[in-house]
Order: sequence, then C-alpha cells, then structure tokens
Amino acid sequence: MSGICVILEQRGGDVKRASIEALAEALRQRSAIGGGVTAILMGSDMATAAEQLKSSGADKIVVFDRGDLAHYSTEGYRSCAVQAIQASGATAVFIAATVQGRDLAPSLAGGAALDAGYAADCTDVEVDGGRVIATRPVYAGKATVKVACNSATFVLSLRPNVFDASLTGGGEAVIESADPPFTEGDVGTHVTSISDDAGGSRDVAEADVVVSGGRGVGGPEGFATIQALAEALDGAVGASRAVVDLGWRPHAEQVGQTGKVVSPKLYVACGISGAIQHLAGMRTSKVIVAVNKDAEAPIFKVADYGIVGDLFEVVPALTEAIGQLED
Amino acid sequence: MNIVVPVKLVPDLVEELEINDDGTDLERDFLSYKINEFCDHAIEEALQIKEAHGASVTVIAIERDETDKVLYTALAKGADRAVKVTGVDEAATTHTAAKAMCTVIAGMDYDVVMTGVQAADDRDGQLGILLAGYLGVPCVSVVSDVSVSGDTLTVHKEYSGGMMARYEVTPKIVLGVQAARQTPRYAPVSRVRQIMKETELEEVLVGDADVDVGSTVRRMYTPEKGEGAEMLEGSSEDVAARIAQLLNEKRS
Repeated sequence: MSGICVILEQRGGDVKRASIEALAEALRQRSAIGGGVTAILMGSDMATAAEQLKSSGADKIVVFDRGDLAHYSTEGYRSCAVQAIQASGATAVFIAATVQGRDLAPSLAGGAALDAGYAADCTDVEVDGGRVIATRPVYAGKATVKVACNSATFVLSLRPNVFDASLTGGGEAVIESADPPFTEGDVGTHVTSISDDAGGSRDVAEADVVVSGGRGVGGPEGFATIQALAEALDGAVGASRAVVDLGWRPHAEQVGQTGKVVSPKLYVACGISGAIQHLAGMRTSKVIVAVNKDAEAPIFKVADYGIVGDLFEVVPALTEAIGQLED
Repeated sequence: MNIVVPVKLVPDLVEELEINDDGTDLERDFLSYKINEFCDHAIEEALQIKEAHGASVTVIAIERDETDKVLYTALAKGADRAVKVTGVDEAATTHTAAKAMCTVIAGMDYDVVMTGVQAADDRDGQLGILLAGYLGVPCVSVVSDVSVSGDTLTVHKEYSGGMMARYEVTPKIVLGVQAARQTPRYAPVSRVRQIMKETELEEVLVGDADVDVGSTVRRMYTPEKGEGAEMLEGSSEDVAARIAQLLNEKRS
C-alpha cells in the first residue's frame, strides 16, 4: 500500500487550476510518500482532458467517462473515486478544497467506504517518518494545527491558490478507462436541474484577484464600482457577510467563515471593516489592499497596504490607474 | 414531518484563544462557547419549513457551558423539543460528536436531519456526512433553500463555479445546511427567560463513544501575526497610482 491519488475536478472538460495545484503537490510529494501518482478524472467526454494530462508527470490517469457523470453527484462521484482509490492502494488522497471538493472529500473519508483520516482545507503538506502531516488553519484562522494520519488512508483537501501549480512533467501516464460501479443513472439522490446563478462569472474561491465590497459600499448599486475594478484586474467580485445578509449580493460571492475561503494573489477589500469571520476567509491572500474610511478598522491589521479614504474616490481612481498601466 | 437539528457549540471566536501546555488543543478551562453559525442557519431553515408546511422541530446539542442557553433559545424561537446530550468529553472530535448524536437520533422518530454544513472548530464539513453514514441514510450537503411538497423535499445545493443544482429527495435524509433563506431570527431575552422558567430540558446520557477518528493533532499553535498595513497617504489619484505600481511589480 503506497502512492497518492489525486481527484481532479473539471468543468466542460477543462481541469480546474485548483486540481492542477493538487496534482502538482502530489508529484512533489511522490518520492517522500512512495509509490506512484494516480489522477482520477470523472465526467462525460473526458478523452481530450485525459490526453492533455498524459505528460503532466502522473503515472496513471483513471478515467470514468459516462453520460450520467456529466454533472457532479456526491454518491456517483464517491463510488467511482473509492473504487479507483482502493484499486490503486493509495495511502494519500489529494483533492482541491473547492465547493465540490469540500463535499466529496469528507464523504470519501467519513463514509464506511474508505474509513480514512481527513484533513480539510490544508495549506501545507509534509511527510515525517513515512507519515503524512497536514497543516490547516482552524478557529477562523486563530490557530493552526498539524494533523497526522493514524489510519491506512489519509484524505486531504488542499486550499486553492496556495500550492504551486507547476507540474514536473516527464514520463508518459498510462490512461486507464474504468467503469463506474453502478448502473447508468442509478446514483441514489438525483439532480432535477442545474442553473448557473453566477451568470458565468468567475468563482470567487478560485480567482487570482478578488475585489470585495462590504457595508461601506452603501447599497447594491454601489457594487458597480467594485465590479469595474474587478474587471480591470481580471478578477472576481466578493462580498462580506453583511452585504449578503442585506441581500445586496448573492451568497455564492460571500467571503468568510460562513462563505468561501479565498487565497488569491491579490485581495482588495473595499468598505469592509474586517470582522474575524471575514478575516478567516481571506487572510492567506498573497497581497491584501484595504480601503476604508475608518483608520481603526481591523482589516488594516491583516492588510499589506491600507488607504484611509472614501472608496468611491479611491476605487475608481485605482480602476483608472490600472487601465493606464495596461495601455 | 419530524425534523431533528443537531447543533454544535464552538468556542466564541471573538475571545482570545489560548493553546494548552501540550500544544495540542485549546486551553478549554476558560473557553466560552456559542452556537456554531451554520447550525443556527439549520435551526432557522427547519423553523421556516415548520411555518410553511407544518413540522415538529427537535434541537439536540452536546452539553457544554452554554448548551442550556442555546437550547432554551431554540425553544423560544419556535422549536418543539430540546434535548441535551451529556457525558461526552469537551474535546470530542467531530467523529465522536457524530457518533453520540447518532445514538440519540437513531432512537427518535425522524424524517429529516438538518445540521450546519461545517463548524468553526473543524471546518471539515463532516458532521452531517458522518451522521448520515452512522444512521445509514443518504446525505446532501452544502444546501440552501429547502422546500417541502407532500413527501418530497426540494433542496438547492451549491456546485463549484457559482452553479446551483436542485435535488428532489425523500425522507429519511440528512441535510448539511449552508445558509437559511433568511438571517436566523432573534429570540427576545424575555421570551427565553420565560421558557427557562416553564420548561425543563430533556437529557440523554451518552458516554464517550469509542470511535477511531483516523487522525491526531500533533501540534496546535497560533499563526504569526502580520505587522499591519503600510498606510498610503495622499490624494486618491496619487494613492491609486502607487497601488497600481506596486501591484504591477508584484505581478511581474
């Protein structure tokens, strides 16, 4: 028993960058953990995606390709993943901590299926004396724990945008097509419809740049200013819990303890005071810029750069300055 | 329809958290607990269903310092029953908590179990999924907006990338609630006091379950604090130009 399985998430055949980060981390840990790296791909029409991963550096790519896997379902994806993990004999399972990963990972570990240890939302992975140790923030980022596995398998979900996504490459992966362990269409619960609430806009948890607005934005119309900066920076719009509670923005955009945890290269907080619940969702961002009227706002304690001022003056000026740089 | 809402109490994060001498857990002697926010949403969503379709709502919680208050508050908000689970160690992991709650719930006549999708003390989203595993019923997690029609529940589940999926499910089922359709209601203190006078909480003794949790904490520590922001001053245009410059440097 050894090796690492990486469960890849894809949308329309494109493997998510967060999953590539998980795969890259698995390749870096391959020699320490021992055994090979197996990537697991589930969906419909996966041939191209599998082909693209051939030179990623992975040893094997197991592909479950069937019509009823086109959309995610916990039961369906879990059964496929468990089958592939058990067949590979892997001792570690890596998965990106996206919305889907946060659902799939605990169900893999917690169910009777693998009966594995589980560490969620990890920011670092190391191997000590053959044991995998995961580092993860807890209590809204007020404490950090290093967790060791004491069961045969360890499932880790990795926080997006934290791990380097560069693949080692080398070798050629064996592509193995596998049959799901259930009859087509028979997955327990079933989905009756899928809608794109975000209107095709970017997922705040996976974006490189996030521009967030809080109560200081003043109302739903004020978010046009936030949106404009997000567009100039090619990023996603985020929101504090206060404005989601007020109904100004959809829940999918909420950053914080009760929303998404984000870790972009750049986080711009506009009119957000920085309650601990919000900080929990963004403090591992690489560069944090905060704009707030109140010089005492706690957001300035975690920010790299702070501006005390009216966001309706500063943010448009910043949008323009960014535009000029790109011209 | 009988809805059971198992709620978790978690350390109040507004307070300073101290690590114990072993460096493996919080110093729990002086911790103050409050209801896990997601669990508060689960109660709210259960009460919304009760009001719209009629249902009986039972809230259960493992005994901690503030458990009585949390349970009385749930009753004041409109829950029908409140059960306190005693005998479970304070530092219990999600696995032990799930096992203890399962012991209590399995003996109840329930249709739907609604719990918070995750909790501040683990953020691993396992309670609902583990409960479902122990109870032997299916689970839909990361759910919002639950509606009932006859024997069928329609739930909305968030997918990655801002997609929403609609599921139709039938009891028995466990739901991990991400957000209620409205902000959890407030129970007036006077009403909570009145309930405390009139009602006695049900108690069920469950010993620490012998559960293999699969992992152990080797070390817990507080992360390094940042130095605080470098404050930029000047006109909006000046400040914007400098930020744009800085970002450009960081990017390249």
